[in-house]
Amino acid sequence: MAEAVLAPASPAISYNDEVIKKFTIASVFWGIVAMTVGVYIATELCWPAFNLGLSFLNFGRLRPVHTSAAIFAFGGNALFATSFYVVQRTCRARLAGPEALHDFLFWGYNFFIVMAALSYVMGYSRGQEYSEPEWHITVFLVVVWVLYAAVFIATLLKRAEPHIYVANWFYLAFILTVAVLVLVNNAALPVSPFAGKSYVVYSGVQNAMVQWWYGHNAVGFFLTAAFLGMMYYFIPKQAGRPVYSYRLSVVHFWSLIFLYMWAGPHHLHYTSLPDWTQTLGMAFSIMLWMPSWGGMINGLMTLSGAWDKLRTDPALRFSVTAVGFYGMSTFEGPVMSIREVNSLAHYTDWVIGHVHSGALGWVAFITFGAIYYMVPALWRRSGLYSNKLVAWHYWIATLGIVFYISAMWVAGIMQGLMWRAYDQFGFLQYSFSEAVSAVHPYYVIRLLGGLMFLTGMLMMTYNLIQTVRSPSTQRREAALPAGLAVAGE
Amino acid sequence: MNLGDIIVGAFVALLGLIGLVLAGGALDQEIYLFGLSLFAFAVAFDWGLMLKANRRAEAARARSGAHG
Amino acid sequence: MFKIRHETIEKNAILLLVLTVITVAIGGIVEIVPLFTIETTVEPVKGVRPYSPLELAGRNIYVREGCYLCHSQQIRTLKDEVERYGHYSLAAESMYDRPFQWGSKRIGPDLARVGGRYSSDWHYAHLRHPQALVPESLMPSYAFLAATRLNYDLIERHMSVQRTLGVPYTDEEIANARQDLLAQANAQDDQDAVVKRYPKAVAVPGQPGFPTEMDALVAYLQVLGTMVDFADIAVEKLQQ
Repeated sequence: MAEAVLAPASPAISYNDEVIKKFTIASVFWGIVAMTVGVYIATELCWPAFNLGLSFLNFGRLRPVHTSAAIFAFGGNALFATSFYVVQRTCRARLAGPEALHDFLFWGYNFFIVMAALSYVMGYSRGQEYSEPEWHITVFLVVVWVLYAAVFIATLLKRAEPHIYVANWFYLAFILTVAVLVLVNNAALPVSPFAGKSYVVYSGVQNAMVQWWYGHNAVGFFLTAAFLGMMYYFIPKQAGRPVYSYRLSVVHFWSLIFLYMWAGPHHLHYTSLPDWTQTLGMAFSIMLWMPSWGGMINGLMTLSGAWDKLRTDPALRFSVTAVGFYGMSTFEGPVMSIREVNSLAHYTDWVIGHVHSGALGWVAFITFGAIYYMVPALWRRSGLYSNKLVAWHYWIATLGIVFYISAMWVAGIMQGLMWRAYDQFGFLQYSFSEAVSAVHPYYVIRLLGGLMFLTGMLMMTYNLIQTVRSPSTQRREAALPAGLAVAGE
Repeated sequence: MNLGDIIVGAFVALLGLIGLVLAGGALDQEIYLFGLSLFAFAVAFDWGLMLKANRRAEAARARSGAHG
Repeated sequence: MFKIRHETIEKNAILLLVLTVITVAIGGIVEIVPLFTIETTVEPVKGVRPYSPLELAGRNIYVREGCYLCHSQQIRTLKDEVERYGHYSLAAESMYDRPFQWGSKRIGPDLARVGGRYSSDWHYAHLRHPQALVPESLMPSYAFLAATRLNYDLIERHMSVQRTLGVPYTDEEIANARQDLLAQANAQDDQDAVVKRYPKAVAVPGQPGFPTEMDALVAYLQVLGTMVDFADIAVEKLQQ
């Protein structure tokens, strides 16, 4: 409710936490959906009979449901939740604008998600990865997004803190850049205002370049910069330490947002994209390794002097491990951007392995860390229902990731090598379908990894529901145990 | 109802109207579904806004000691 | 050169915003704009033509079903790839493709030059039940396409919107769109007009008067990679 909430030691600022609660619940819900659909399509790739001959359940239509649910629904709602949590507290200002507007952002964004998913299974898609929603759904998203930007920026403008905290630089860059990316990549002419079909303005090689400028920066800004914003708030909070280096955050912020925007062409090596563009993309992708590791170092070194907290705070383990996976993925990415490496990796499952080490290891884990921190705070509970369950979640999820990415590394490299293998007579050694059969066992292992990750997600959901509802986490007004997440900070 | 509710509510109502127009002229299933859903969304959202405003008003009345 | 202290930027939200937008705009501008201004980005190649109405309808089905998620349509300049799939893809071959469907994953083989490799009957059987022809295949069944009547009510609009965007459809082609579509979907029909307007268009053995979505898709698949006569191309002509 919109009752004023008094923070214990500071003047009464009433933050809008209700909308953050909604976004958090939505993020967890969509996480389950995204992972369930992921498990299902993984099953289809092991045993195509699971496509059931049904148009609305087949791999081609369900895959965008999975990617959209994971990135925009699970990730997006988590970013709305945390950006609103962080910007209010670091600005010491209530979220700008009327509460009705905040409610519109929540319901409107999730309406966009539902409409997008429905459109895919009904057989409507722009045919461009991570940019599948047709024009009418994208127009609606743009309306929501412009209002999101307005609320976030207006909150910065009304801040009581003179300095804008580093997390907000990353959130701001994410909001602005996603707007630019979506608008440019979706430039299109509908066949009719009353038809859900449009033709994109660009064609062929120019379309390819714009799409992968977009696609790589969907990763770079939606999945990286924004979640770095999350990291910059929640790790210091959980560790009880300030960010390791101010100077490093300045340098890596500007170099990261600059360099990322050039990396797109590494998706197009050896294609009919001009050589000069491919080379630029490769060079900048390799340079990108540095600001990425700058972020990793800043995150990890914040734990300096507080490493022992990892023994007692299982949620912190998620955040720290996330930064480790971030470092791994942002090393793997530049390596895969090297043309010769890419000649093997492109089109193979290695790419899928790389995506999921980032998506599960970095994005999901840093989100789990933040959610485990936020939920007791937002619902004013004494702490999480069960730390043991968090530990179980951590280990099952981590093992799931290891199974997933190892399986995909083996499958991907095997495919790449089989496709280019010659026999002693100088003929291609393997037919395409032989390579398909060869990777089947690794697809099954990947399915297992995904199932484990989903199981962990369900454990988290149960733990959070109990945190909110169980009498054992009811806050006593007497002294609270030290080091626990407390509301009103 | 405060000014914020009214402006946002009117804006969403406009979206709902657009949805209805789209559904009315729809040339395929997708726009038909989208238009109707947008209309349903607008109705539900504005109804929620009014409900919230009503609850706020009642709570205020209860606090000031008025009898319901 | 005037030096901005970072503190100045951190204390000014609008400055932070403006500098961020400028910083992120640069990479895209440098990599995208020249692709429109440098003429050699797309060297025109003889034979490349816009899709016929039936091929266009089929392509739209390919796009909406997410076929590009498993099949690529871009043969790289790599020896093994050229041997397996044919001549590497030229930029001109996808110059009218909206959207491009180069793909980024090969769960199934590349389709850039699948046109003419298999008979239309093979395609119909394969789309209905892939595993009957390729036991190891992971492809879902697309039998439902054969049961769905092709909706071509808006075909002229599709073509004229594309013309607005730069695809050189002629008035004659748009005026005859429906006839050409129905003719190409019925192999027994006279194909002269279709082939005159759309050289190398392949007529598919559909049911007369009842074009299905599968007819359209097969017509599209059968033209892929066939437009350019590579016997005609000398390597020197392709170098920039």
